[in-house]
Amino acid sequence: MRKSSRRKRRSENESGAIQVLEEAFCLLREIDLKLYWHFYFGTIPFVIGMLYFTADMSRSGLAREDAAFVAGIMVLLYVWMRMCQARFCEGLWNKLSPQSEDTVRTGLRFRRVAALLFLHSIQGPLLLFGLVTVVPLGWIIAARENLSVLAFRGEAAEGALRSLWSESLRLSAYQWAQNHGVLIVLGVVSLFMWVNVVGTAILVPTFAKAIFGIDSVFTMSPIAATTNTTFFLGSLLLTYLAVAPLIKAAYTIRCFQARTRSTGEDLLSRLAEAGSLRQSQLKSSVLSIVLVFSFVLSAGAVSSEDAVERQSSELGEAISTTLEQKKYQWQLPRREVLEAERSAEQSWLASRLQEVAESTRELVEALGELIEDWIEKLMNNQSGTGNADKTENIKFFKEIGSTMSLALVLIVLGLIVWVFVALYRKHRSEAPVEVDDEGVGGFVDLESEDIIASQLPENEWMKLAREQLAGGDRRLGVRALFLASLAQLGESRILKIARFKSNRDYRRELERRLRRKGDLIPAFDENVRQFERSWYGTHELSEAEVEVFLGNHEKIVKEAKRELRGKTGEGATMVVTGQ
Amino acid sequence: MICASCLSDEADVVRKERTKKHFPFWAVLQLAVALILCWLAFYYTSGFLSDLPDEFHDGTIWE
Repeated sequence: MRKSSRRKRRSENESGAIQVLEEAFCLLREIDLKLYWHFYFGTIPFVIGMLYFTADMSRSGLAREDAAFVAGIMVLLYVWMRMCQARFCEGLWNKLSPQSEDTVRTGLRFRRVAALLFLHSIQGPLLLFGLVTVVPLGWIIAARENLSVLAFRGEAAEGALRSLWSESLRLSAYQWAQNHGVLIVLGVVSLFMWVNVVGTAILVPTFAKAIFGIDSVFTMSPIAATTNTTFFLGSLLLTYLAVAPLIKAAYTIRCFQARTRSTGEDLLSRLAEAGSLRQSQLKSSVLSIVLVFSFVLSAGAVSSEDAVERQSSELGEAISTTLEQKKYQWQLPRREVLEAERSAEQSWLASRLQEVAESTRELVEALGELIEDWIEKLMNNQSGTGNADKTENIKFFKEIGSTMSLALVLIVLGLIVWVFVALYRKHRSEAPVEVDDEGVGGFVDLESEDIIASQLPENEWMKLAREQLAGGDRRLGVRALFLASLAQLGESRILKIARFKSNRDYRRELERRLRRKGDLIPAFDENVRQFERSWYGTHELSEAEVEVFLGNHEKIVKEAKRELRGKTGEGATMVVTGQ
Repeated sequence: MICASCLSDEADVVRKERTKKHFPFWAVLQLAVALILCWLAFYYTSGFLSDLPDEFHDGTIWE
């Protein structure tokens, strides 16, 4: 009993992976453009460099000669990316806690950057170890992400390396289930993002050909264009660009939550004023406009400069310079140059890879034959002597049962079933009437801090409120009334009631989700003020104030119902239009 | 007796002097090691990539 209640209490205090990711999304929506600029200004050059590096090293005839220099450039790009990402995480933290004084002083930044880069440079073997042993992988990834988050936090002048490493490790162990949940969800999100990137890369050229008649490698030979390593890496890097800010935000929130448990920084930041944020948003938008204008102007200037250069240069020089460019080196058949040596001795790695490819192909073929035989036997057993329909069935199964397609169909069906089960469970858990925490059906203790508005429907809360007001207890009556308002807003799908949300969170959600503001928000604000004065303060409500509270509640109910009608009406209109 | 603000000013001066005095030897060493390790990683990756056969890069190895 005690164990289960302890577990229950712990699960109430801990926030889940989905909640962290929701907060990460909200955080990314609220931050300044400047922060994205920091992130992509560091990450895009590395991504482009990585693509160039891989393509050059895998295809260029002069790969061996250029390797040392190109590796040096890649190191610089990598260092720059890590610094910009740490700066991005610092910005995210400052957004979470604007009054935070935990930032590293300018003089110590160099030490922290050096420690950060050192720890990132040794992460390769750690990640390999995690991939091989699987179990500690979640903690290793968390510690690695925490490095960027904590790089510019704390005041450890001496032992920057030790403090950064120990703090990252310590926070990686915070709520391990949440961490693994976050990683699983992010993995699924990344997979779908990658599928989207690949799909877009194939579909857009196809449409371009169908509509405008523009031919490209994707339309001429889609398989050759998509099964090479450059395309594969490019799609992965694009996926990284899209998902990386979310990963950083999720781990920033995790670290923030873990630290604020001991410092109470979140409460302090909520209490602090955040008026200057609006001004910074305005500044960043002005900055972006100026940047766009300067880009347009500079583009004009550059084009005129190019024209002048082209006129002044000689044609012969231009041709020779062009032929010396990397992209023409790629066209050279480097294998012809090295063919004699290569044919004599094929490298160990190449022969191993060919063996792996051969054995994989054989395995897939063997599996395919096995499944085909199995289906055929099954159908023969069922048909007995057999008739025309059964033979048709066998043919059909033979067609789709060419192994992989059947497996894919099964996976898709499984996913559909899983989605339906998940939706059904969610629907069940969102039923308006729930048994309260104490497990006594129907009884709600209005004095308890553990009750939640979704525990009862609006009319039940109203019944409780009337009982309390009739009994002369205005404090509990007003609380029941306030919970009735929340329940109504939840039933109208304007708010999502949750135990962890504060009244301020509900207020923000109202502003975000209400399409027609009307009287609802002022009425809600006034009721929140009265309720908090009475429930948390010592103010005793007069009869007139209760009347006003009741009036506001009616306004909220009316507006919420109108909003719900608007939503359902809109849905009906869409259905009619669709027909 | 000394007031809190004067004490914190003095402490700041001492802290600044301490940071000025020490050349960040370990930080420079860490940075150098990090750069060398990263360079080695990229260099050997380039060797690995150029060792892979063309058929692998083109995708024809899987056909």
